[in-house]
Amino acid sequence: MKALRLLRRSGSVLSPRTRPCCFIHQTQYRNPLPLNIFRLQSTAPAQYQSAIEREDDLEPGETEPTEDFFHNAPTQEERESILSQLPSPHPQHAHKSARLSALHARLMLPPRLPLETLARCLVDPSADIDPHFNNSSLSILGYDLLGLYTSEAVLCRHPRLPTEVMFAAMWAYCGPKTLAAITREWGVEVAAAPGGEVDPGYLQCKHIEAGNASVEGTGVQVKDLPILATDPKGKPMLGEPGWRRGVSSRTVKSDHFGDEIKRTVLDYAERPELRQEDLQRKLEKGVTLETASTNFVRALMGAVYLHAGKKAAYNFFKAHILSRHLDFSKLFEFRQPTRDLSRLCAREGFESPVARILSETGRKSRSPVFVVGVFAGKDKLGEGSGSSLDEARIRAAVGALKGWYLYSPLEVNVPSQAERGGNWEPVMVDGGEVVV
Amino acid sequence: MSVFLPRRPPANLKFLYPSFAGLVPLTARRHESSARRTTKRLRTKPDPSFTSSIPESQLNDHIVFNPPSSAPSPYHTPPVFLPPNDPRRQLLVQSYRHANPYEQPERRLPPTIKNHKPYEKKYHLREKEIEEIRRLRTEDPYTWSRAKLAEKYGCSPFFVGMIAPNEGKKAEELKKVEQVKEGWGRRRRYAREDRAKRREMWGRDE
Repeated sequence: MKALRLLRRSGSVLSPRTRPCCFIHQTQYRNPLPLNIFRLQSTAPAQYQSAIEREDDLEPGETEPTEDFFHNAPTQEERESILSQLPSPHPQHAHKSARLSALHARLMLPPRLPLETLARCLVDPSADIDPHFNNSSLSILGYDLLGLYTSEAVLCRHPRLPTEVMFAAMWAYCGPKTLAAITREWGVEVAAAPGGEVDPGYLQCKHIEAGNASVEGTGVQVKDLPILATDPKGKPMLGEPGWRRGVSSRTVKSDHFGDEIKRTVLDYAERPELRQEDLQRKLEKGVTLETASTNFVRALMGAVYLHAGKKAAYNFFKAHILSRHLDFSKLFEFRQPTRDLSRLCAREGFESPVARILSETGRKSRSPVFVVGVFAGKDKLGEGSGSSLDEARIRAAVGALKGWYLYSPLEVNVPSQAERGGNWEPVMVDGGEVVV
Repeated sequence: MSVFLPRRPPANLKFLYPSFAGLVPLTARRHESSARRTTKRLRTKPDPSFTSSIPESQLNDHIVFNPPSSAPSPYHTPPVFLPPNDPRRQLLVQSYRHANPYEQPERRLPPTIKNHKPYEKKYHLREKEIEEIRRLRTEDPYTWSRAKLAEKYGCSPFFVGMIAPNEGKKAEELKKVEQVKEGWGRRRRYAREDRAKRREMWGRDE
């Protein structure tokens, strides 16, 4: 077997993983099972025993299995019954799955990422509650890596983006919907039900009961809607569910997408049993396909980082996440663009903006067109057209604001890719969005 | 010598002929000629930007990129918005084509929108006047509206609303508006709602 060079932190991923049910089998069958009781990763060599079907390619040093072994070896039926008792496929089966190898090849994953880990990435916590066998730990790492790489890529390339737009861009690049779409694009299929006998190339998760309709036209599920308070004034109060926090609070206390974190690290630190309770609930209720797909992509990101290192992880991120096209200019929505623009000009020391008619046609007709430019002194800030002067003026202000916010420096070095000892040019940090 | 050319051929002027002439199918010829003319007229040459640089052999094996003249891209940062250390700033100043045309002395700025008045803040009101504004507005908010006070004290109506808000009057006015809105029929209500939606679309640049 090819020796893999492993990074220091990947030890916990690759250590021999056992579970109590494995020991039950051990007492049941005295002789070694065709499946290893200890579910091993490819790099933990100690307890590997060659399976029966590998007899042909025995190496000279290896001893042939004894007569006694064949005599007491479990039958096909027994083997299947053992397998079906496992909640997720045996790691050793990873090498027998054509799907898994195909996925590994199709994604051009680094060869240092073993198939066993890829198989583990496909096991959702709702399928297998044991953290040694599911992808929960890897997906936490992958979530943080995706957040770091995406945020620095977006923010260094567009240093003036407002926070709300930044959240929207993060959601578009590595939000659950995108990651679920990526899973479909990679050709990963979902097992109908998880279990030990399933091909490890399938995504294993317990499906949630159907019947949670989505709100028409939004793509948001009914259960995800914020609960509106029954306050007569209609506004939920501080701390109540549905209370909308400010942007600055969300940058500190929320996840990468500006959404509320239901369980924080502090919650788990105060009540450690909460973590187990949450997992148990997930195991009973199941998860949506979107959640399972999201966890898979995140886990794969974490696995690539652990096995192949920082550079490979960044290349993987560039190839699959950053390569997706996102039109930032569509993420903006202005309520009072003219007011914002005049505040911006006052803040930056430009002359106050004036709307000027660049050209027009059919003023007295049914469908006139006006082209209006916003000028600060002699410099044109933006241009817009519309069927009324007001519309053209407001569109011109929107264009000017977008021109400001979408500024992108020519050459960008993101901090995570800075080389040690190399010349580091700090990225641009902007004064922030316009606050009125 | 002037040659008289009739606009319509005499064959079309049916009323000049005796009634039996209507039996002759003249219309067939007419159709043929107009179809030929129409086809000829429609057979226009494509714009040179589509074809000029492409050799005849590759005519059907290329991508035509000929975008219509349209609004400037939002990704194009105006030169004033570039930070001072950005190299594009220097390049734009040196460029002949992309330099600001309004910097030339003979080039005048386009006209402003008619009712636009540049407004300068004066910061001339002191504590005494502000107290006076508040007093007038609480005593009789209907006589001393924001506009009237702004005119009297030479400030903006926004400033008056800021220093002397009148929640009672605002609520009353809103109630009146609501009453008027209740009297609207379906068509008017829909038209107003659509107008508001279009107004929101301006801000989204749709």
